Amino acid sequence: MRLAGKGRHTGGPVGFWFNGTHYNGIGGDTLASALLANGVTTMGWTPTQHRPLGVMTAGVDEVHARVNIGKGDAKRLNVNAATLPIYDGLVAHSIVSNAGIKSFTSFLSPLMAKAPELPPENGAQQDFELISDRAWAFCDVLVIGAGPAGLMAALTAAEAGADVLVVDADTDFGGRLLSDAEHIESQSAHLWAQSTVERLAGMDNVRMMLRTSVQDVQDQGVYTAVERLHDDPRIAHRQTMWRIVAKGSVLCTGSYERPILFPNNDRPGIMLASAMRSYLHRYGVAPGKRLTVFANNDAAHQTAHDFADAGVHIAAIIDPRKGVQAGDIPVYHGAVTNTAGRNVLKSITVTHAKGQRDIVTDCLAVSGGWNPALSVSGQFGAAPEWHAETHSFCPAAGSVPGMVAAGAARGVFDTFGCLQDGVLSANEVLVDIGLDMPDITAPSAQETPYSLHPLWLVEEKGPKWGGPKGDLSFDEIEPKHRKEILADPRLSGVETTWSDDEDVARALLTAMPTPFGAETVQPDAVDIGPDAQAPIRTLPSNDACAALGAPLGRYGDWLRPSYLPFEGEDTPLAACAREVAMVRSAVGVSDVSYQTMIDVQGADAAVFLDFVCATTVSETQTRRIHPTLLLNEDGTLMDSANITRLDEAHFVVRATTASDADMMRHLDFAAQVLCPDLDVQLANITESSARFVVAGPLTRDLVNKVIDAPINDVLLPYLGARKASIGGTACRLARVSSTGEYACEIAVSVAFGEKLFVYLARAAASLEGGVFGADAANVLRIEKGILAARDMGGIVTPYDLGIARQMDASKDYIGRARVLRPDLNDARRAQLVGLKGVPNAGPLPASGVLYVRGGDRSPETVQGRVTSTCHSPSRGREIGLGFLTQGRARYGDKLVMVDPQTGTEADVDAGYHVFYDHKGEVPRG
Amino acid sequence: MRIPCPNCGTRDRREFTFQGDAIALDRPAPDAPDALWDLYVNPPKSPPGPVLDLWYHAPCGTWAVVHRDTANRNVISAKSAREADT
Repeated sequence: MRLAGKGRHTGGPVGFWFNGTHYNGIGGDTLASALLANGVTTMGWTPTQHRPLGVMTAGVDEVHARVNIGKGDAKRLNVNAATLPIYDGLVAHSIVSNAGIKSFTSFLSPLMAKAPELPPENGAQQDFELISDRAWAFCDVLVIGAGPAGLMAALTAAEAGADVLVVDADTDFGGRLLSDAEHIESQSAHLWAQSTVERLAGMDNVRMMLRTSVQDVQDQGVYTAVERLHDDPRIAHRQTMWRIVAKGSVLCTGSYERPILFPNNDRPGIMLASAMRSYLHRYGVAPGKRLTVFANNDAAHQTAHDFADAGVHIAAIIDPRKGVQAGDIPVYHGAVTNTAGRNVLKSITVTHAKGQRDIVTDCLAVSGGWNPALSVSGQFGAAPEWHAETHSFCPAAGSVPGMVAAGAARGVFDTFGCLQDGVLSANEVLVDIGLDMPDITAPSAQETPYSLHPLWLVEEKGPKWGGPKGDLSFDEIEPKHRKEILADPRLSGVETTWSDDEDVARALLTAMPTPFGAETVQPDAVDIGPDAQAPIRTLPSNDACAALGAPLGRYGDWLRPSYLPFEGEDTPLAACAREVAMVRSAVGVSDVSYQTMIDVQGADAAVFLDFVCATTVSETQTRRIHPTLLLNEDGTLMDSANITRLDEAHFVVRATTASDADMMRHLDFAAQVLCPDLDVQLANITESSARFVVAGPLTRDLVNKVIDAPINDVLLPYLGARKASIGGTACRLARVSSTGEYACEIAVSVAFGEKLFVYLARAAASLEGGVFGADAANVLRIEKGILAARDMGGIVTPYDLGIARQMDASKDYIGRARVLRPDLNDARRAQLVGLKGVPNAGPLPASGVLYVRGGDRSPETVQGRVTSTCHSPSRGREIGLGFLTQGRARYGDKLVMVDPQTGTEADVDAGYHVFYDHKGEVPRG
Repeated sequence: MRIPCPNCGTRDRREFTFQGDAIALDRPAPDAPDALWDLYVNPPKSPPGPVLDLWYHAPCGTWAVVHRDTANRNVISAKSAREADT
């Protein structure tokens, strides 16, 4: 229930839905605090036993209170209710699933990682949200977390004149100061935080970011952080991924309170003591009417005093330490040994020196002390150090170069200590990056010695639930895995004062979270998914194709039209077949501006290309096109290419399949690393021109329709290139074909691309032709036996393709030394073949392996692989390209093709890989 | 990781493509023995410690020889492959 006069958030009323019921909260509430304010204690259920679960924490470590939010398509799954701010129109449902199991296992890892899998139930999915935007930030000092230590560190670095960036995962700066009733310099601590934040925000050299959690740290001070902009799944842009480059950083991520394990320890109403105080001070909510506290340290006693001040009845404090007293409040020196109640806690059983008794209570605050948050400091693999005085694992100094931990994140648990440590740690970083330490001291605040009795496990029969969302108790897990834990090599560097291995194991099992860095704490980890797709490149004709109703698909980085639909065509296959027939019988136009074009110039350009290519490029005449092969140094085929010689010292390389980035890298390597002394300059000109291929028997008619001065086969022979103009605009013509048809490529400046495309499309239509898309282009090249990137895959040699004689072994070139090796020229290698489906047998799988039809099928009897298949409208049957052992000697063999993924199979006959125009006469005209 | 491109200054590693050992600079003669070519095409894995390897900075098209230490992850220096003499 809400307590009058309590709470530090000041928003207006907010309406939301939870499990089908409408509730009201206050702006600034989390879903968990708003539900507690409405008296809702059950926020989830365990998967198999369906035991009710309540919220246990008030932060990122919450694993009980997980919800799915939104409805329909706009949904987010497995969201943490303890950190989700409520908003108008929020629709949340508890999940009954093992969706939280990842967090669960991470809590008790490595132990739980090996625990039996729980059966998935409804909604057992992870919330993979797209990172919708990326950004970079640079700073001198990155302060991670803005609690007492972080604020002082930020102030120190800012006063020193450093460029400071402060990030905090919460919705407000202040950390624990927001949730406790302490004082800093006679001011309420949360007000001190507020005024410090205002002071920092007023400084020009300080930037501050809320709701930004640092996920990882990489070499040379690069930090990845995710900023949450919106929670509502109806808003598309909800997260930004930041990469922050910092000269130094102060890690002030605080610590996590650990529970104590005792029988039936996960009933709604049982909560961490610090969470209880958060709900009281920050949100003004009391989780019950009769409070009990079970703690092994002084700090938790504060919980009882705070609630007593707020008028809540304190039934008892249970503390294992002898002699501890708490004024009027009854203290039992013992432990909680059982609890009762289902949807909410009803009573607890306390066993103490004088016997056993039941105490009526509806909320129990538990504290087993604190564990520093190790997720960031553990990322470079440094083992944390055991600090005997705080009974916790703390980050070792120098765990991450350039980063210094401060405050609770390194085991300093009192407020003054944190403030002071913030100053000291910031100074350490400032010295490291060469700045002077400013004259600054920590303000006065509470100095509480941290006294703790190491009790984390109550030795009593009964299910001690080891983690949320699991119906697996500590006793069921522990004996089985203790040995494995002790054998964990990560423990070898950990020194403890514990008497024996068993104690260490117990401490690890029960001290949540465990000391294993990144596995341990995953701040909102499930809310972060794969990156949004990389930027897409569009063709000059993109808009025009879209306007024609073409479906646009991704081909590498490029968006290309799959086909240009006609009215009445009901399948993509029908559109593709029409386009293929159109090219074969009339004329087709297609945008090939995605094809890689590299400009090569310089006095040694011809020498360079002779070195890069397996054929002799230097003998090519000007205005002629030379088909060639490029090899990798290991003798495999890198790509085939058409090289146009524009001038003595000027060439253009047109790659068949390689992306422009890959081809540039390959050629730059040759130019800079292998032949640094040659006079040659390279430029990627892929995007500087728009190029359209015109293909089909009526190509000449179409080209002559659009260009200013007509051409013929003498002016522009096969594999010739020349300049021309269209309406006075300069263009280049090239007689190359990747379809098996008579074809001509027209290139213009990219500025005229779209205009020319529309012009060509109209002219083609007047000749019973039209535009063809990527689907038809793929069929046309398979019919002609031309390889695509997927057919080559970095393992094919020229010998495999039957084109080894094109290579000129009289000169040195990249790949020459290896391509001549006998094993790359062995007749037993898989060789390129064409495959024909049996008539009327249905489509072939997209890819697969080959066996002898009717023969054995085992890994040893695989005869080859099929890399491309399609329906050939020109041949009226299914065809494919593949690689068959001794393939060239096996034309006519009867084989079966099997897709290993789906098990689909189809009978195929091997044959020549060219299905259309065997002799290759058509393109010559 | 941050790599000092000899042309552009220090940039994030996502702008670079890794190629492998700088042995690639020492291409054997065309008629060199097979063993030498094998070593060149498939160089052995380097043990943790100082390495010289090749990185391509795509935005400016520079191949750089980067001196790193894989044991402590320090990036020590970089120079353009064109000027490297190893």
